[in-house]
Amino acid sequence: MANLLSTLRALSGLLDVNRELLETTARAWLGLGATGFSLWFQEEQVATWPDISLPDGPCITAPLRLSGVSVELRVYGLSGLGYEARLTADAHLIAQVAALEAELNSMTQELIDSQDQLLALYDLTQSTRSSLETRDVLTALAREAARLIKAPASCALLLSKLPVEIVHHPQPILTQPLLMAFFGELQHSKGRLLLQASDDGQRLPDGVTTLLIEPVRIRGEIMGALVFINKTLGFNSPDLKLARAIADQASVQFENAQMYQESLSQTRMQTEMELAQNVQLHLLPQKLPEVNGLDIFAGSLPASQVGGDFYDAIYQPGEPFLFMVGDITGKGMPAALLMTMARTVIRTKARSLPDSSPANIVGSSNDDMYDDFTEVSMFATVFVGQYHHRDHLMIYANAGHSPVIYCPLGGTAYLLEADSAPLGVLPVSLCENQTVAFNPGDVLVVATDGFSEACNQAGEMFGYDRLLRLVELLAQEPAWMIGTGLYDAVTAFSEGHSQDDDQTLFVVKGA
Amino acid sequence: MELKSHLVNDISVVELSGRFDSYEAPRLTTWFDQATPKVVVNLANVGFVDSSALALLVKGMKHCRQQGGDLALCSLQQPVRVIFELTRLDKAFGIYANENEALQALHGKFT
Repeated sequence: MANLLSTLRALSGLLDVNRELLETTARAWLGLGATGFSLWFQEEQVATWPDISLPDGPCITAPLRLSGVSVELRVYGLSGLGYEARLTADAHLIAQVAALEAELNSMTQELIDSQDQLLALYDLTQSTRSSLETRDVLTALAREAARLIKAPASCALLLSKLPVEIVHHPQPILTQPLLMAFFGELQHSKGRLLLQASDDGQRLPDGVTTLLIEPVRIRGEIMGALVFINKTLGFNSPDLKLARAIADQASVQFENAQMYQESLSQTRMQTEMELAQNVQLHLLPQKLPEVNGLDIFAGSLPASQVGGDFYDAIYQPGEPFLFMVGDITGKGMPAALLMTMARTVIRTKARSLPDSSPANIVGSSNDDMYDDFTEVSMFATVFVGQYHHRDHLMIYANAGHSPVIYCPLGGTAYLLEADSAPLGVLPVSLCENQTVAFNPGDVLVVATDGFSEACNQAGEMFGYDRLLRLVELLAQEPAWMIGTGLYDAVTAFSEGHSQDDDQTLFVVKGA
Repeated sequence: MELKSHLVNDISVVELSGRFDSYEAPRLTTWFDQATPKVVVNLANVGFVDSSALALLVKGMKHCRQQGGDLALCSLQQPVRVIFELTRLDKAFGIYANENEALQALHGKFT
């Protein structure tokens, strides 16, 4: 009985939809001389033309299927094979036209649905796109998602960073522990969770009747969720589709936000490195002093943006010219930080000690910096030279620094070896003042190990011998040509191999 | 770099081989954490040390001395010996021809 009722209901719907088609056919048959045209369903007359009850007399019939329902067409007052064939053809035609119309209607409905979804998603994009802070995106998502799905409450959560961020709309209904438990289940099942009080009552807290939890993936991993709460009559299939679409939109939004944050912190880091590099460049002498009797060149090429090498030159009226080259162990930012400290300490000693001989400067600097160097497990090699023009002498102290190359005019180049360990190794420096003659044409090159240890593609080091021979070869040239010649040679040697260490150079030549 | 270690009485001996540089240094740092205050570092099979390696040895040496012990080096190859001489770190470390001499020196130093 219930079945029959529902079929009748369907039939009346079909009649409404196809009335015009049936009416046109009926009029054509009446025009041909028929006395009546009717539609029958299970021996019941469901529609007649003209609109009067027709007698159950002789007639021709043809079966017709309308959207899966079998009915019958009857024509009164005409008979013969020709009319029967024509009625059968009409029935086919009506069935076909009705099927096409039904298809067209369903396509139209789908178009309208997807258009609605597109509009809804467009709204969502508009309300979240202006914000790249995750909290703002979550807030907009929770609000818009509830509106689109027509759920009275919602929440959006994101776990891509700690602590977990949760936004409730309009008020919290689920507690954080419960949400986290559901989220765990979501990650495990890798799909949506749909809970209803009728089936899963014991899993839902008081006051919650329906719950839809849609995963939000970031770079393929489930990192967040959209939770829709208490939709009246439950979540239907279009709701689920729309919820999925909203979650996909959220994924894109969070991925964008994350990329933005990453590029922002990268830019910040880059800017800070550039600032540090700028500070460090300005700690090197901007202009080397003009020193009577000396021709000077200096350069520094850090391996990364900032480095641990430094050089300095101090020329005070009435005092001998003083210069220094230092190398902090390691490279990059840690070395750069200690480099600024070492440079300042040594510079201060050079300017303020009553006895500012090189050994005293080195020893006193070691006293000051030993604890700090020990604390961070680093040390620094330092060479301090002092030129006495009147006596044509170079007095120097060398705390573990190499290579220091001395090449007397026309003679063989050799290393001026250190006489004490680097700064920061021993509590008391054993450094003493050493002296070499420094006449016109004599050359002193204080380099850092970035020169001697520069490697070529085969992994072979530039080494001391090549440096010594090169200095001999260049010794006739002015200081700047010796310096640039050394840089060029090492750069050519290590072509194709990245620069491993800072390369710093101080060249003095007796003029 | 390979790292093998053994104990001779109360002296921890570590034998290194290969390149000893900034990439390998952290492994020795971990080893130092569990070593006794008396340490011998055998460099017989080490062909190169860079400044990070030197810094780590200096750190180890300071740590041993703070604990009332010391760190001795032994069996340096020529290129490594040159680096210790040029930086004058040979003045900061006890450097011995072989492991036995290093062990005896550490042993004698504290008796």
